[in-house]
Amino acid sequence: MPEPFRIAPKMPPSAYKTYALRMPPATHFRKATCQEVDCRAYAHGWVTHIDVSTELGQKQARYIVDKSGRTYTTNGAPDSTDTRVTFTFPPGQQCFADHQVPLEREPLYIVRGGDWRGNPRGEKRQHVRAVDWVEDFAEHQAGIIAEIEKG
Amino acid sequence: MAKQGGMGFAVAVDDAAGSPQTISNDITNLAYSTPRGVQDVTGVDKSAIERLLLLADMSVTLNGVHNNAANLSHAVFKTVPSTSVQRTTTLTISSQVLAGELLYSDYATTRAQDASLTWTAPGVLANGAVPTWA
Repeated sequence: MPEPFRIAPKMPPSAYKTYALRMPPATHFRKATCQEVDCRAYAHGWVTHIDVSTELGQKQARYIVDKSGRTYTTNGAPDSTDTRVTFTFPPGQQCFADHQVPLEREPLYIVRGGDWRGNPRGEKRQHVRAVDWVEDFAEHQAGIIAEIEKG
Repeated sequence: MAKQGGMGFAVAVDDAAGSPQTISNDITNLAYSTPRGVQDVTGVDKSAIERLLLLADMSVTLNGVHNNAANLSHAVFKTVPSTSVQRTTTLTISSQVLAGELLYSDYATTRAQDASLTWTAPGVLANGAVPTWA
């Protein structure tokens, strides 16, 4: 993913500490069916246009016809002027998208040095419980305020 | 304090009209970066530690899955390029609440090759007040 535009922080990464909650797709999500995510293609059917003049298009068409196991109708064989084939899939079958739903798992409670620019001190720890992460975070914020009030 | 799990943390961000919208279900990852308390600036000529108080800057990065339903993440962040408003951002976890006024500088959406559609919204502290847990 490209970096989004960010307003540059005032201080170097070494002056920052990051409190993060992470839910990596590999461990915190599972594949879901179309029904679970109210998939529009499942509810209303969908149309796939494929250009069979390309190698990719031929492979896609082969997959739909031979391996997909879906029910469909087509607009017939392509001719020399129009190489596109339209597959129309009726509702009530799984679409080709990979749907995901979150597992009911706790996020990873991470505390590390630095910010999005890096972690120059290499500090990293992970809390097991949310309350410990919140307490760590709250103590850090209280420390900053205490320093400011000292002047 | 009684034992408790952390499931059900909640993130709410103001939309352009200033109404807080709970978008937790769209968010998969988030990070708050805040300055460490002090910076060690001891020169080689010193025989004791010299420290500088740091400004209380803060940045937030929210990462989530595209959702264009009413009052969810797309409805909140689609106005980032067109409006100039501070957005109250609230993180609630284990009955503890962290709130801050933030300026969001981007709403970057990525359509990856695996067809996933995700977004990133980075924000920085806007009003000079250190966000604190309450």
